[in-house]
Amino acid sequence: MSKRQWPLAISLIILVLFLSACGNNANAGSSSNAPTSFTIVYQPGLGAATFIILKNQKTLEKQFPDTKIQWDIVNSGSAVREAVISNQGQLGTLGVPPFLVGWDRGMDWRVLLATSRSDSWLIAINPRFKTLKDFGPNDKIGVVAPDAQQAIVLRKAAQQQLGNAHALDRNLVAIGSADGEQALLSGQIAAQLSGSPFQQREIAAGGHVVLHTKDVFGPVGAGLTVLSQSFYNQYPSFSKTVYQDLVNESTYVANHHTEAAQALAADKASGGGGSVAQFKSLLDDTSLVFEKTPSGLVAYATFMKSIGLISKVPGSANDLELPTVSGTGN
Amino acid sequence: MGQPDKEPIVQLSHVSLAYQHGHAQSATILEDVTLSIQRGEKFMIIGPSGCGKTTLIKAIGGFLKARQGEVTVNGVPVKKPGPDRAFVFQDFEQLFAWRTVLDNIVYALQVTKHLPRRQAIDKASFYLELVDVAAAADKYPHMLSGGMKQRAALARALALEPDILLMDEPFGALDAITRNQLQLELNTIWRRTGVTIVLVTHSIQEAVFLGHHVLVLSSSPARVLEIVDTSQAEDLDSPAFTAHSLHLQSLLVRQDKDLIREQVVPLSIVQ
Amino acid sequence: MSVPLFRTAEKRTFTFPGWLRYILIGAIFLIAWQLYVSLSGVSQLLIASPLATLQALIADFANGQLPSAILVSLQNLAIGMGIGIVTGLILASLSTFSRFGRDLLTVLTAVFSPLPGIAILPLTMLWFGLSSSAIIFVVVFGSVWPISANTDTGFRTIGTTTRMVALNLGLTRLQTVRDIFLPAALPHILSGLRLAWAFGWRTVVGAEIVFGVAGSNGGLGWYINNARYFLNPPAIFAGLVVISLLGVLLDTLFQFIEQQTIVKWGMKQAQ
Repeated sequence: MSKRQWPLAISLIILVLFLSACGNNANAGSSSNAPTSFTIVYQPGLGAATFIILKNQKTLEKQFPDTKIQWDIVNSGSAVREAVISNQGQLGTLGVPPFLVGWDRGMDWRVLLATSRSDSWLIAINPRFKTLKDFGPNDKIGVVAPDAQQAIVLRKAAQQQLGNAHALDRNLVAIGSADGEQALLSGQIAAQLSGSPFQQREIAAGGHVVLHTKDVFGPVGAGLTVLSQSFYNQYPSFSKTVYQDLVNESTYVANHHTEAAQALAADKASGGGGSVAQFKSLLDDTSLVFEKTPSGLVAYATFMKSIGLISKVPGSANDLELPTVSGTGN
Repeated sequence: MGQPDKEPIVQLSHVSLAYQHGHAQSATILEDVTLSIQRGEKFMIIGPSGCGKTTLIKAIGGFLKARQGEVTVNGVPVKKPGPDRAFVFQDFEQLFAWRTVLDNIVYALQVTKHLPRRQAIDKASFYLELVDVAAAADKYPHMLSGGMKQRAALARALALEPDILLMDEPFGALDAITRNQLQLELNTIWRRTGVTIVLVTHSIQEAVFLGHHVLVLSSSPARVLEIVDTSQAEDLDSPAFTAHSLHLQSLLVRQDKDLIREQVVPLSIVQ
Repeated sequence: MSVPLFRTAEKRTFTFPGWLRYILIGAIFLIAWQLYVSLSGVSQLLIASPLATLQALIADFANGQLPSAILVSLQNLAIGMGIGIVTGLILASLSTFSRFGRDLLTVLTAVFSPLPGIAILPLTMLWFGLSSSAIIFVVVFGSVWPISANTDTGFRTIGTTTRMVALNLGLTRLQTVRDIFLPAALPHILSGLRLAWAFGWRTVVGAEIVFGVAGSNGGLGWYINNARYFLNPPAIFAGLVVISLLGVLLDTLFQFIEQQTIVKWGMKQAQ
């Protein structure tokens, strides 16, 4: 390549990079009340019930016929976060910690509402695991991601019971809930901390509970449904309608366990697999609480900052909330 | 000039040898070869190209097995190759490229004679001196000229202090000047060591000049045409040298069909 | 010694030395990258600037995260390659000395070499659990085939003369393989090793990502994945820079080994 061609080549490269960065804004330029497309990214499990019902009833599609509504199932809060950063999704559901990590790194997302809160169990098969003290360096513990709520709860528990929040870091293995269930039953990992319906099946297969998450942080930390502040500002009425729909469906699920169980059982990818009767009994369990108010935001942030996972703590939960739930959480 | 002992060191009696080509019919290379080589003599093998000269020397080296008959060295049947019959090949690649010239010899001495390294180095140096490549002792083979490589290979073979030095067209790939020089030096070395030399060549001049006896093989399958005593013909200008050369040439020409055709054509033109 | 044979005719005024040209290209790339991140307004959560990457590099080197990740990855690679090399050499030797060994290697290579290492990771996770043994096995699996196939080719293409010299010296099988076959086949073995390590390095990093070991004892793949989980693009970029630099370093090491062996021995032309 001759000397004269160099500047040309470099400017071409820069141009390509600029263009590729600009191509991602799915709903840029729209000035109407609703975006041209809207993607909801959620995770499989019992908490997905609200979204399955919303999807099945096509509520949003009827309310906004000009908006292309899409649904994506991903395996972890980190994946939800990536979908939102890359603008592949607008509305996401995830646990408190991955939400806080995103907020800490400068994502402008806020809580639209909370979804549900339940008790998760650390389950082991081998009877020698009675408490966290029984885990040696080679006894792997499966969690969906190192920044997942379960991983944070486990660190808090390690701090409480073993005196060091990082005592179990070497044991943690990132593995999806369904894969983790298989790994636990086949003996590849010593224990698994996921959620419903996986944990109930693991118990049925001979596992026992080593730890209840509700004992670690208390009755807080419901799953969150989040939306970016800028999206909310651009489409306030659309966002409020989505909020209201989710509140309605959540109330419906809370009051119609049978119908919700049928929806969960019918949609294996979203529900995680199981029969109507199994889901019905899970929904009937009193430890499952549907609530729209976010909780535990400050408590989790304080702990995560104390062990160096994030760099700041919100002044109050209100800093993290959209007007829909403003001032109600903690 | 030295004379060979009258005691045979190599004997071939009615040796026949064939190459197996897969499942196909085997091709006979040597047929009923009987000869004996005296201890300390220089024995030359010559014959039409592709007739089986190399096969014969490989049989003595133990690389090939006779189908019929027997090859004995020092009265013992030859079963496999060994350092008592040191081989020098035409191929320059016979030196180990990954060892220096000196190390090539030292290694050979260590594995064959189990000499301690110090002693092996002394001996190797002596033989490098003998063949006049001491200056290149620490060079790798690829840095040497063809002539130097052959000298080094000769030094390695001599260092093994073999009963017989088997040389398969050792100077065949060298230019004429280097070749003549090495022929002279081989004579000198033979005088100093008295080693038995069996040498395959396609040069009549080389055979007559170096050899005490010259074995002339027929074209394939190779049989013994004649074993010519050339021990008195070392001087290139002597009438004996010329006579032997012409004799060998006439023997070979009769064997080589291509050469016959070349001779026939001019005759027909004369008629 | 190395006279530029073909450049003498060409009149060249002045050119930058090679390393300077490479550094120049690198610098231009870094500046373009930094300018792009600074001026385009792209989200810092999508692309980290070179400066942010450098900061992450320094910080994570200082706090020991990167050194320990590098160590784990290199250890996985070294153990896997070590076992792969030994197994590959044994397979190639078997293939050289026995018909069954050759058939075995042919079949195994044909069946297994097209399988990407990552593709067998799920299987090794079943066999070895979520431990580094699973990753090491994948590296072994990936390196055995290029090493054994190349070594086998190397052994097969050893010249007849070299083989005959080994026979002439009366070497044992072990001596023949160790002292003759291995060095003679080294050009092929080294190119097999080059393939194997390039494959192994990619596999180690890839497997560590798939593996998603969440704790603090993972390698570079884990480091990148962890940076992803904690939304830390500068660390992701830092991990990529380290992986690439280590690759360059390992390649330089290979060039050095080649320089000290097969180039020095004249078995391969210097680049």
